Amino acid sequence: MKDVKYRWNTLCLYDYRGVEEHLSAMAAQGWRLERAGNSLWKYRRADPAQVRYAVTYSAGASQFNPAPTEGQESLEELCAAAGWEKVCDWFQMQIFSTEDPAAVPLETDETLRLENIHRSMRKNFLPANVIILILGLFMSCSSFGTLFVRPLRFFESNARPFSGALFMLVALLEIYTLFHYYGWRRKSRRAIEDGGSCAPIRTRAYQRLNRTALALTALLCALYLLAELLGGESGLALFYAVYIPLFVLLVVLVRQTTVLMRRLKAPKWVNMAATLAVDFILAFALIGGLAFCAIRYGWFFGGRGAGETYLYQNMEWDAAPRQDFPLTLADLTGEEYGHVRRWLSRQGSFFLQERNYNEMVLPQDGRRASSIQYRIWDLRLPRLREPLLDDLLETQRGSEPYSFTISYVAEDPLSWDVGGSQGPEAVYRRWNGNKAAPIWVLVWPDRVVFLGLESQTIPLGESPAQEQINTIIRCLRPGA
Amino acid sequence: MAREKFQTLTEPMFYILLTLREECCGTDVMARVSALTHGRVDLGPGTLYNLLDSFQQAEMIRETAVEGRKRSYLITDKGRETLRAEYRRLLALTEDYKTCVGEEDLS
Repeated sequence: MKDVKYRWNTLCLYDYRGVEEHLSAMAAQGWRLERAGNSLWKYRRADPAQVRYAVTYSAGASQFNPAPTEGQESLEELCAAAGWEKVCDWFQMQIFSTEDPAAVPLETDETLRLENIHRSMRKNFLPANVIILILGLFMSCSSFGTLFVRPLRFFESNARPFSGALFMLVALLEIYTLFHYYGWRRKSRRAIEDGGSCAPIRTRAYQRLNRTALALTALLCALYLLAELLGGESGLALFYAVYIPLFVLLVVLVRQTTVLMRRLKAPKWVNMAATLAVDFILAFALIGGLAFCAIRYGWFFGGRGAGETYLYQNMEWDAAPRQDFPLTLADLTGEEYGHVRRWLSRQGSFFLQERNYNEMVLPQDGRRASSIQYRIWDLRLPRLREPLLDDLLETQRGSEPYSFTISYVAEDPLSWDVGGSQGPEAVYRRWNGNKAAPIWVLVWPDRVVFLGLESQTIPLGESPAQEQINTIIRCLRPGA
Repeated sequence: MAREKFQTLTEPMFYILLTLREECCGTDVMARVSALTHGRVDLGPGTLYNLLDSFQQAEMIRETAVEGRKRSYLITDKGRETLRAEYRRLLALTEDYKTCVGEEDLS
C-alpha cells in the first residue's frame, strides 16, 4: 500500500477556506499534507483523524529564502503557543494544523486577514498574473492582428492560429483570475464592513475552471500536432512533440534547483541567481539542442534533405536527386544535366499549403549553370486566393541600383490552355520596368503557382513554346 | 471611505496596547488578554502577529528583547497617547449613552 500520494493542486492562493476544508477532508481520509509544491502537493498516509487546518499569510515569505524569516519564526512561535503546528508553506500561505478542537482560530480579525492577504497577493500572485496577462494579450493580438492586416501570413502556418488561440486562452484565464480576485476582495470588504467575514469562494467551480483551462491547453496542443501531421509536416509535429515534454522538464528542473539551493541554505540572492542561471542554461541546452537537431536532421520544411553530395566548381551537387520535383529543368528543356542540386521548403497550415521548389543544374561539360524556382500554394480556403494574389501581384517600386518598377500584367489564359479544362483561369506575367521577365503567376480556383525561369530557358520578352506550356500545365496543374 | 489606520482602535488593538504597558512577549500578550477579558476577546496568533508588526511599523510599540524565537515588546509614548485617545473616546461614548438613556437601563 502506498504511503505517499501526490495531487495536482488547482486551489486558489487566497481561498483560505477552500485550502483548510480540503486539507481537513484529506486528513479525515487518512492523508496528511507533507509538502506543498507550486502545483504538486505531497500527502503522507496517517490514521484518519479530525484535524483542523488553518492558514495565514506572511508577505515576507519566499520560496528562495534559505530558512523561515524572523517574521515567520515569530508567527510559528505564537501559533505553537496557541496549539497550532506548522505544516508547510505555499508561496506566502502559511499552513498550520491542530487536533485541539478548542484552539483559538489563527485569525480573529477579518479586516486584518483581508489586508494581510492583499499584502501577500501583491508580492507574487498579482504581479505574475499581470505579466502573464500582458504577454498573453500581446501575443494573441499580434497573432490575430495579422489575420486582419495580412490574412495570408496568418494562415501560412499552423503555428500562428494555434499560438494565437493558446495565448488568447491564457489572456482570458488571466483576466478571469484578476477579476475574480478583485471581485472577491470588494465583496469581502463589504461583508466585513457589515460585520461579517471574508466572502466565500466557490472552490469547486474555480478548480473546475482551472482543470478545463488545462484540458483546453492540452487539446489545443494535440490539435496543433495533428494538424501538422495531417499537413505532412511530420518533422514539425515531431519537433513540438519533443518540445512540449522538454519544456515541462525544464520547468521541473528549474523548480528543483530552487528547492536544492534552499536545502543547501544558500542565501536568497544566490538561490535566485542560480535558478535564473539554470533556467537560461537549460533553456539553451534543451530547446537550443532540440532546434539544432531539427535543423541538422531536416525536420523542418524539407530543406535539402539527406543524401550524398559532391563538390564541383566549388559548389555542392547531389549525387542522386533528393526529392521528386513535379517539374524540373530537364522536363522543360529536354536536356540531360550532369550536375543537379535541389532544395525544397514547405510551410503551411490546415487552410493553405505552400511549397517552394528550387533546382540548379549544370551541364556535364560545366557550361553556365541555370535554375528554376517555383512556388505552389494549395488553398483549402478559397477565400485566401484574393489576399494571396494581392500579395503576389503587388507592384513594387524599385530603388537604387534597381530603379525599375516590378509589376504584373494579366495575359490571356487561353494562350496557356492545353485543353480538357486543365489550364489556369488567369495568368499574370512579371514586368521589370518595360521588359517582360520569364516569371509568371498561374491561377487556378484552389491553386496558385509562381513560376520563375531564367532567360536561358525562356528568352526575355518571349513566351514559352507550346510544348513547354504543355509540360508546365501537365506538371503543375491541381491534382498533378 | 477607508478609516485611517489606528485613528480608532478595534478591541484586539486596544487590549494589545493595554497589555504592553508592561514588557512582555507575544505569547504572554495572548494569555493576558484572555485573562483580562475573561475569555471574551480571543486573540488569534495570526492576528496578533500582524498587529504587532503593524504597531511596530507605526512606532506605537518597540521590540525590547529577542530570545530565540521569542520577542518581547513595550508600548512607546506614541502608543500610550493612542491608547489614551481611545480611552477618552470610549468615555465620551459612555457619557453620551448616560445622557440619553440614564444609569438605570443597564440590565
